Amino acid sequence: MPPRAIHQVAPAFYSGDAISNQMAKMRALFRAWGYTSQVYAPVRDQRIPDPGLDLDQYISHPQNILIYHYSTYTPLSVWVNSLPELVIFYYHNVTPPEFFAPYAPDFATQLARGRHEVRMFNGRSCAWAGSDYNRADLLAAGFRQVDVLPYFLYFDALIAAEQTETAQRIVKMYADGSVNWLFVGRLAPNKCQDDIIRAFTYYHRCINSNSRLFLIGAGDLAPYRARLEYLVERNVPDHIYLPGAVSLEALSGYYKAASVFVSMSEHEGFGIPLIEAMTFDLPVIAFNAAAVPDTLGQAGILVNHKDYAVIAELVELLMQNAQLREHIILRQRARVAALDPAQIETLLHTLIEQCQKEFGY
Amino acid sequence: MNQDNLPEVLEIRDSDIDAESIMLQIRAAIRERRTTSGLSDAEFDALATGAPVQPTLDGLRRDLERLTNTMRYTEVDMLLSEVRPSPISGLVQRFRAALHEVILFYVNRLAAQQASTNRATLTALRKTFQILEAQQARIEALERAQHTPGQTLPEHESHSPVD
Repeated sequence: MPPRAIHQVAPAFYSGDAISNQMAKMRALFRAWGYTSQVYAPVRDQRIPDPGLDLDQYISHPQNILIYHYSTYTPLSVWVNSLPELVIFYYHNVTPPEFFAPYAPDFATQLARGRHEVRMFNGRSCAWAGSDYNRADLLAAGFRQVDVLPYFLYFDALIAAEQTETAQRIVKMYADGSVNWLFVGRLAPNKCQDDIIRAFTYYHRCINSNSRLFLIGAGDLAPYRARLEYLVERNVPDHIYLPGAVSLEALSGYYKAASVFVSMSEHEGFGIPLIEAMTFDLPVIAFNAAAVPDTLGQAGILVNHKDYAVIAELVELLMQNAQLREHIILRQRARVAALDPAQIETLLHTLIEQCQKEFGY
Repeated sequence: MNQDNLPEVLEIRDSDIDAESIMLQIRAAIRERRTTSGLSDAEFDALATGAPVQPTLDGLRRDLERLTNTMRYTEVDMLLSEVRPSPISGLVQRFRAALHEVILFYVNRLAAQQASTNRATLTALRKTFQILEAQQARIEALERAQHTPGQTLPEHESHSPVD
């Protein structure tokens, strides 16, 4: 007998974050394929049109399929592991604790537990990972079979937001002939915004003083934010901007006004902003670590060592050499096209059928 | 900065792009930048490797200017204007107005004390800066004199240049 329902569970269901977007899209697909489907989470954003249900409303049934989205340590794991239905463990990665230890020791401990807790599920017959890098993490944790299910990426709303007043205002303000560096991601030690500041400082002082750096992203971790602000203050304070988390409209404006996207991140489970930058035809320069090379595919430019002078000179080369820039952008367009959501939809369907077969439905 | 290993620094996974040529251009650009940037070798290496650059008197002057501007802004903002309570009748309105006045009195008093402290701090910082500037000038003069035989050393000012 086929499963009657495919549900999903996660610690939180928010508006706008990558995992929540994935859950919402998968729920819509499951419903379209005739299953009953809902998202269950203890923390839910009520601004979402269909914000899911609380955990205590979940009715367990042996014929259900439950997809467990895992990205942090949570008491949910013990509960999920006790359920009789087919549980698919979907791993979105947990940041290695060493990045956070100097800034937030308690949080680092939680991350360490999160990475360890993954092993609780390594006997499950079905496990998915958001990228090849995440898959390797699971195999190292003792999982035998792991399939990669990439993310459904839709940038229509972000691109459409270019036309809004907010976006236009940002473009008018900053697209003024200045070379604008951009990075998007929360201010966190694993994202290494401090290295971007150092590379930009060389660029600004030695190559082109008509330049700016925008580091977009929430700065919830106060000690790291303070470190970045200190670095900004000591280097080129009037040309580095930390506007925090911004609206979709503002983000669109920053992408439009930017000249180049620079990432020095040392840990990404996928790195959606890399692809967002590509959709805005921004040449991408990224440090070669974690899932970044998988995400870039054959596109963009990878940096194997954090040599700030080389990174800055490379940016300048991209600004001066139109042919090189155009070539990089063309490659990036091909990469964006390869991440076609229709293909991921087919893959999801296949993976569900495969899991049902293995579980004996 | 390790220029000898430049080919390993970048990875362009596109056979149509001549990565070697890009490396050579970057290598040449860094060499040229070292001579044209107007920075000393130590300063240039600090920038290229991300090492902290020593703070300068110019940087301190800029910090003081920023602090002065911020203080002016604080002083203007400090004066709170009375907010008229919403038109509700009788006793409640009189009570709210009185309470508001009491709050204004204490807030303004605290703000005035803080502004006074800020002014004193800024004055002390300005004097420190001027002393540092004078000392820097003396150091430079001494260094020049040391390299010019026969030149007399400048006299040290026994009093503070700002008093």
